[in-house]
Amino acid sequence: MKYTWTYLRFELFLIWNNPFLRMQFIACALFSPFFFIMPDTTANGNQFPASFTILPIFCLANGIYYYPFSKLSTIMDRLSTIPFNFVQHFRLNYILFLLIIAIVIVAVYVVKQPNIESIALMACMAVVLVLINFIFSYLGSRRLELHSAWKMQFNGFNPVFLFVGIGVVMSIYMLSIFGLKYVMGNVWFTYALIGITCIIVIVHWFLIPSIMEEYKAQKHKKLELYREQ
Amino acid sequence: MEIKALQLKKNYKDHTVLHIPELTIPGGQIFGLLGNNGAGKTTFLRLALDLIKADEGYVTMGTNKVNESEEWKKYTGSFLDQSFLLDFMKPEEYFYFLGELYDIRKQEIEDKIHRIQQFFGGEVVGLKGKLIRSLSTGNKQKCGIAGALFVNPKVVILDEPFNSLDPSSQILLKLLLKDMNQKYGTTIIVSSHDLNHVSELCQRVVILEKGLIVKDMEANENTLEELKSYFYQSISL
Repeated sequence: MKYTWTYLRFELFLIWNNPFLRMQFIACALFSPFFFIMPDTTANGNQFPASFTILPIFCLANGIYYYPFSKLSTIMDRLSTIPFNFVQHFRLNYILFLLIIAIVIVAVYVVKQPNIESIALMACMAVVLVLINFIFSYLGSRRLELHSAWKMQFNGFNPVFLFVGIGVVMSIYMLSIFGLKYVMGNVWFTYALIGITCIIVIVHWFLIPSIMEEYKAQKHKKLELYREQ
Repeated sequence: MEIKALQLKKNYKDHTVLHIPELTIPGGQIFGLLGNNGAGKTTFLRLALDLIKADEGYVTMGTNKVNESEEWKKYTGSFLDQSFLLDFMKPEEYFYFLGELYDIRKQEIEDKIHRIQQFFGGEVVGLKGKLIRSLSTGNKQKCGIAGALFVNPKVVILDEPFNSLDPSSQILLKLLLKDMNQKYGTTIIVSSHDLNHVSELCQRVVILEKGLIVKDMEANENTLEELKSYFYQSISL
């Protein structure tokens, strides 16, 4: 972990210099008051509204975790020739991401004292975001194989693409959440959310080495395509 | 540290851009790569640093194949181009970052930064708030080279290091490289377009042309003339 703090510090610098993430910081600051204003429960007694207002913060935490990946393609050469352990580094980033999420959830619990179902839902929303972003990044890194009209959109971090993409996937996700809740009932639904969260956290931890391999392979491929042109 | 390339081949589509059946660079040699654009110099250096994959063959540093081991990274300092810079850092931060990665003590890092100040001509280090990305091209080049030499390497790989350097820094760099080679037996690979620099610095010079080694010579007092005559001939051809 010797170099971690130095590198993380510069990741924060990178993040702040990314207009999209900076915009998210501002959006979070603007959205946060809604968290206090919105009612804790809806007419039918569930506590989803309070949970949803936390979503921008989760998006931000997720962006903080993934943005350095996008920057990697430009500094991969340098980091590949020095004893820099990518996997160790991104696992640490992942732990930090989970830590931020945990802090937010604890803060929500302290302020709103929601029920266990809402807590499970928030945790699940946060880690699902990570998976969604992984899928987009993966597609982004594979963009050269996609249709040329989509080529420019699939750069993984295009704000429009991210907004639309995350919107669509989150809608599907929320519909399936409500579907699950309706089918399973509150108790089993909560267990299911906790289970899904744990599975995603663990699977992602083991996915990180393969994500790095994919990025390295893609870097080689880009270079070779550039040479061929 | 000996560097060896065996049956090394790199193709782009059907076009072979580099084919080196065998090349051995003995430990402690200053080795120069010369060639016109597209000769395969940078491709060779990229293969030696495992930045691209060979279609056939491999490169070894000591006993390690570079594409199978990470061990060589601990004793290799390299700078190919400005994409090698972590340009969102300040120069000092970059050197501290490298120093930490290579297990160099803090005091030693500070001493080294102090020593390379001469190479920077009093600029670069100590400019508060100035990031590498906002330095001039020449100073970025100096940062990259200093970063490669900073880490007590046994092997140094530099691609066209004299480009963008001012005359004083060019002279200083040659002295630095010769000094490292003599004091620590560092193996140094340098590619360049400049015949003067290569003939002055290197103990051995290899000319690449269309991916093939066309000349391999030990450097002596006549090397510069030989090189000039070779490239004059290539024009007349």
